[in-house]
Amino acid sequence: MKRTRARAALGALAVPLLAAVVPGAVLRCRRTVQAVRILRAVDTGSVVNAGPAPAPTTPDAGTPDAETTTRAR
Amino acid sequence: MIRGTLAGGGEEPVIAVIGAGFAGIGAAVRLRRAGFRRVTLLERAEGPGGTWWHNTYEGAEVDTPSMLYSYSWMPWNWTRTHVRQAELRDYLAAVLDAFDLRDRCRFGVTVDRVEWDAGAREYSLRSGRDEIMRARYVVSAVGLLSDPRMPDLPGLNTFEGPVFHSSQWRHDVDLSGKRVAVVGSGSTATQLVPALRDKAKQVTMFSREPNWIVPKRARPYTDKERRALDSRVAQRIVRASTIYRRDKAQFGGALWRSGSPQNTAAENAARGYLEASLGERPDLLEALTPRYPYGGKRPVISDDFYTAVLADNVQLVPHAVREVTEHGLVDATGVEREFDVLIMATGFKADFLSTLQVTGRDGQEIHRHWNGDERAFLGVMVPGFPNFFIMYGPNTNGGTIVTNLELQASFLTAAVKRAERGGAGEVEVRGWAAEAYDRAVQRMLQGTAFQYGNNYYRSGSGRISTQWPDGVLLYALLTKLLRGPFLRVTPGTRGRAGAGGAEGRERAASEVSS
Repeated sequence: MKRTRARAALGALAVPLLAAVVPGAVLRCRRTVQAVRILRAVDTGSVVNAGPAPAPTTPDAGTPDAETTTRAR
Repeated sequence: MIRGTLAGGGEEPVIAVIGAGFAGIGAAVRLRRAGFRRVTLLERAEGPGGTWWHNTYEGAEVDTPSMLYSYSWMPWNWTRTHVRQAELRDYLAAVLDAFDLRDRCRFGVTVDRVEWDAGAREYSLRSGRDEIMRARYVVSAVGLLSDPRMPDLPGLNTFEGPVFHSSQWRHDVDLSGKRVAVVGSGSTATQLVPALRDKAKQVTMFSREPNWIVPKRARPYTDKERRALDSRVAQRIVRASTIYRRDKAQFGGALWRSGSPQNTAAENAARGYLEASLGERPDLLEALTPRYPYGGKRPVISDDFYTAVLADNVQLVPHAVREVTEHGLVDATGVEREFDVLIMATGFKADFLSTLQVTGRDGQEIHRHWNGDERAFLGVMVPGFPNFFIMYGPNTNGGTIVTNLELQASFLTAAVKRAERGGAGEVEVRGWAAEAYDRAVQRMLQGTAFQYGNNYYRSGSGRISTQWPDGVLLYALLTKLLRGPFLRVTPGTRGRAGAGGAEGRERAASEVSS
């Protein structure tokens, strides 16, 4: 009898719980994805010369990742 | 004096970490998280930070993005894309507080000798004639480039004005309206010249050999970006993806092999930046174009150096300094110039454990063991030196430094745990493993640009002793894989009292090794 009541109570709680948790999780996930996009867009001069060599007069085309050489200071 | 471990007493081991910079703090946190509470950080400075405590010169700033120049387990809401010295020092202090390590630090303590006591199976750490403490395990985190190198110039003591090394900045010297000489052309000098040009009357830089320079793109983070930095998960994702992108170009050491597409692209980008910046000044273009492949010397990352050398009050002397006079400097061509202040941005001694004498098994000193050719298994362990670990040791320079340090901390923590499982014993790399590893690394370094130029990468015999030839992913893999049979654990007495004499110890040793 007690078990049945407990199950019923849990069942009643499940719907509002899910409603509260899932939208929150979705929102958090969306915020994280947005933050990743913003941070990845920051040019920190660390494009490891992926791709072909840029023309000599266009330094912005690719910055060799010099930091990877040695300790930075 | 702190007493060390008690043989057979079942106490937690005392672990001494020498140095409270990025390496030392990272190792201490890792050890603490693994459950070792008796970790003591010994630091010669009066506060934490290591390099970032000492280097307070104008414009001091990292040239790796802030997100990478920090611990993966401690993201931070940085104010700039490339963090400056003061913020970085505050960050390291915050790490100490976050992991409750402040009371485990002893500042103002200079350790100059570490001696293995075979009977007690622990190290004695000494400062001069005094024993500071005893510890079962010692982690050296004194850094590679921490000991300033003052040039041995004739007449240096005769100069009448202030002379100081960039890492020992004289804040009491007002540079306003002064004629300042900066000796050197590396990362520090290229940060100094732009920082000084608005303050000093005249800045003259003496450059023996130019460096390849690439733009940094340093700037403050916007409010929007700082809000994004609040997401620790996002920071971790971006950090991981950035490391992966960097590693792709470095796979197989491609970036550092002269003539490879990656190396050529890097050199062309640096040359393009140079030509675009100084194209209208053929004299500067000539003086600042390196004659060696990209990577032959440590490349410099700077946004404002080329702009600074174009300023009216900045002069570049493309020669070495020959001597110092009472009033100035004489360059290699014999021209004398007068100055009010001399700043030596001449770098650091690139010697491993340069401030430490380490004596291991059989009374062998580590520098004598190396005989000028520094080498260590994964840069961390040296045969004959049980329970002794080096952070940022031989052939670990490169990749993403803080990540490498985290990997070293993880490796040494695993080794300590294993020794402790063996009853507070000794853990040491096997001789054949260290030799095989060193041979493989040296083979990988053959044909790299590191072999060219006048750089700090090479040891006395000419072998490359500082550089890691590949990316961080390979190093990560090796620090995880090269553990089991490559290390020898000799069990201690704790918890193995019934093992029974030499035979028992041998049996126990094979159990632990297997």
